[in-house]
Amino acid sequence: MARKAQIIPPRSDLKRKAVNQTKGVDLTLPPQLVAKLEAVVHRSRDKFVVDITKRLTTIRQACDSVEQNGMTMAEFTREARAESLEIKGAGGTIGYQLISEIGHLMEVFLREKTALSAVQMQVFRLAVDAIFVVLAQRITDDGATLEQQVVESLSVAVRKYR
Amino acid sequence: MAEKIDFSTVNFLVVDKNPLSAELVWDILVMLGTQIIRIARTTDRALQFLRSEDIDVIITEYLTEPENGIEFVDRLRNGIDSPDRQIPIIMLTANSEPAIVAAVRDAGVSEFLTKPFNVEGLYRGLVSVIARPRSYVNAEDYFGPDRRRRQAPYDGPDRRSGS
Repeated sequence: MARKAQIIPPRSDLKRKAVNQTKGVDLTLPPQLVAKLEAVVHRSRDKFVVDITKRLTTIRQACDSVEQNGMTMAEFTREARAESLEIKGAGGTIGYQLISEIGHLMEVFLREKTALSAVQMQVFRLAVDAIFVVLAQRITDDGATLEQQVVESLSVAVRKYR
Repeated sequence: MAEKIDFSTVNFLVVDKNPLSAELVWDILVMLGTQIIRIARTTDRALQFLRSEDIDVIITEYLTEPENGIEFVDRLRNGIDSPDRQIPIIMLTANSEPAIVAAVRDAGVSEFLTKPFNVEGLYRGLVSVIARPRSYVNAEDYFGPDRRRRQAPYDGPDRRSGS
């Protein structure tokens, strides 16, 4: 017979030492602290942009390498997916929502794949190029109508060729 | 009077192989008033910190090495050598595949936050584990925070008795 689940009450030690009514940060963040925290994130933006650019360059080199048989397809898809995840995670955090959207498309495109056809590789390269453009033009947030249309087109391509 | 969190009393461990991501979380925690933050690039180093220092909250990526996030959380919740089976674990990751999210939850993670993240989302996760800790469930196939978030009123025929 299956053992009955035991419910263990919440541990109170951390709450007891950290939560009080006089010192610290309100449970609902005050707007001025939100602004300060966002400034902290904003300060790291340049470093993240450099990092994303490096990761895109790594992906481009990997695309070249796999097409010239210097890297196996399995290695390529694993590496490119890992880099796509990092790009997706970083973009929106520092205000480049479009980068996260395209990074997400790249990650979904590679999910559970161990090889890409020539057409699939072209689609993937398009997505990489699109992020380069976003960075070069410093298109923050969700971009304008044109940028949204580009993302939508990429999304259609990903669905069609995945 | 409103409740506050004194972050100077809370010690954090950040597990992330990406130094920039770890640094950003560090900066946010420092701005909140945290004084002790340890950063581990690998799960092995994380375990060393957990065994040698007084860590209150873990913020970890899913894409960790040598163990991935599921294996790491499972080791902490169920391993016989776990330094603290009930330590709050916040997973902060770009990997939001539904299967991964479900597996991480079933391994016993306390909060799952996706990247890209904003400061308010991260803060809500911190408030949840520090100020609103959940009960733990010790069952045959699960040890971890109670996965039921909301107590929906139900008086139907199959209502379970007890608490």
